[in-house]
Amino acid sequence: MKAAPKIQSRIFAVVGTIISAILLMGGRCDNNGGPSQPDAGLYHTYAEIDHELHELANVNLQITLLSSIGKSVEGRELWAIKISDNAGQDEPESTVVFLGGHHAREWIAVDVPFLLAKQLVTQYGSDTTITRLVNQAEIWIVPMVNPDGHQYSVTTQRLWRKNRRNNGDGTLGVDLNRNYSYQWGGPGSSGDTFSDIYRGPAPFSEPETQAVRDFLRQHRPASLISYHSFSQLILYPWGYTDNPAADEAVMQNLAVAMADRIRVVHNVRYTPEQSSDLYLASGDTTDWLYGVFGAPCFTIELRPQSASPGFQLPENQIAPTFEENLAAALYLIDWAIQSHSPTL
Amino acid sequence: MGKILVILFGVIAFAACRQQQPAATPPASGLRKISAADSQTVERIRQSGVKILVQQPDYLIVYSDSAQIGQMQAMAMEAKTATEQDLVQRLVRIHFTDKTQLQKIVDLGVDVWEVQSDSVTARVYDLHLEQLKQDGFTYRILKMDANAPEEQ
Repeated sequence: MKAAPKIQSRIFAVVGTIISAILLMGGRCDNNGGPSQPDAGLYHTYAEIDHELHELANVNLQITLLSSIGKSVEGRELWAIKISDNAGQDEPESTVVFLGGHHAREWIAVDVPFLLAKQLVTQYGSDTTITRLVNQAEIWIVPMVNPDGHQYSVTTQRLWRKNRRNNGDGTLGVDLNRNYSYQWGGPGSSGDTFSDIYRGPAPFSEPETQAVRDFLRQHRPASLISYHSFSQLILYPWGYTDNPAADEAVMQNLAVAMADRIRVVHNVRYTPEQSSDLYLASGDTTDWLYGVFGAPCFTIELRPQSASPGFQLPENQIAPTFEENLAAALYLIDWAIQSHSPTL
Repeated sequence: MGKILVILFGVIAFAACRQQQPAATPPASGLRKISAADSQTVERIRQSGVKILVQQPDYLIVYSDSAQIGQMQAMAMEAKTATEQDLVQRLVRIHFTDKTQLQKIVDLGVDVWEVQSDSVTARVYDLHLEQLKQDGFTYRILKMDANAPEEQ
């Protein structure tokens, strides 16, 4: 008779544990009801970028430094990897920064900078050009500036563009590439919260852009590339006005040189032009960096050229897109080393 | 003791997950869903100054401030909270003649996907289409639901 309460208690405990587990797993609090392990095929998800960057850094301690530059609206870490010969030290070398994934649906714009990091680390010591550039420069790569939006694009709406800010009126998201402060609120951005180019309630209202701003202020890059897709363009400031930038000649020459190097690899043409030649757009990353620090910087719109397939670039084009852009990235790092006097 | 811990664990887990649910109360101003609006109702809403963001056969999504919500209630319209899935967008090709016109299209707040010499492919709301029509632009709808997955 004494055994009955014991059995009852065990049954209670088992049922309770199962219910608790279901509650925890079921609501694991992927707000979108998506699976807990999102799958983007050969493209990298946030979890995969997180895991592989840690793995890359852990086995290459001398030449890498992995750090978080801040957190997204939903609390995801914004990972940045530094690649340099003595990555743990601030050396008097030129800094070049590569950013990816401001816009959620532009998956290729995450994979290109991530693969660049991987290539620089794994080929260090065996490829003479890469070894020299890593020795002489401080290279920082932030492959996914908008992890919340990317996750939403993977799990719920493939063509989502903005971050996942709750705007408080039933709409979600701020366009991070309209949220930088330089000429914020000008043409090519919207004050409507439902718009896909909603600039946010104030300049740098978003934790993602604040993190990039603080990171760039700290590291003062000699140059920068921000990857986007699509259209196969190499854009340089200004974006907010048709007027040419003071350093237009320098930036135009660099853009043309990068386009030439891209074309050599797979004979794919990227058009170099001032950003405003496309249409005016205000509050983007490169206008801010150039406007505040005068550093030549570029938005590269990756493959494909047209709206079909547009943002949904087939997986078999990830490798060639990376290969052609590797050539351009290495060229820009080399330029920064040769021509820029570093600041410390 | 074990029972209490298990119950406590369950309650905490349940509470943690409940916190993640979207708020049930609609915001003071913003998006509202109005079901089964006939053409007269649509016209009345339009005349009241409310922005009709999406116009589907069986519902409207409007963007309204608190005063406009009051007006709609006075017209005996039931306005519910809209979900993200309700926000249907169209994929369209809009024609322009010069760069000034192109910029006007961009500044409406549409989502430009591709710019060609005389047209732009963009993802838009019905509100944008209405504005484009008023501004004299011509356009062609390429896809009624721009966010629907491509058919294989």
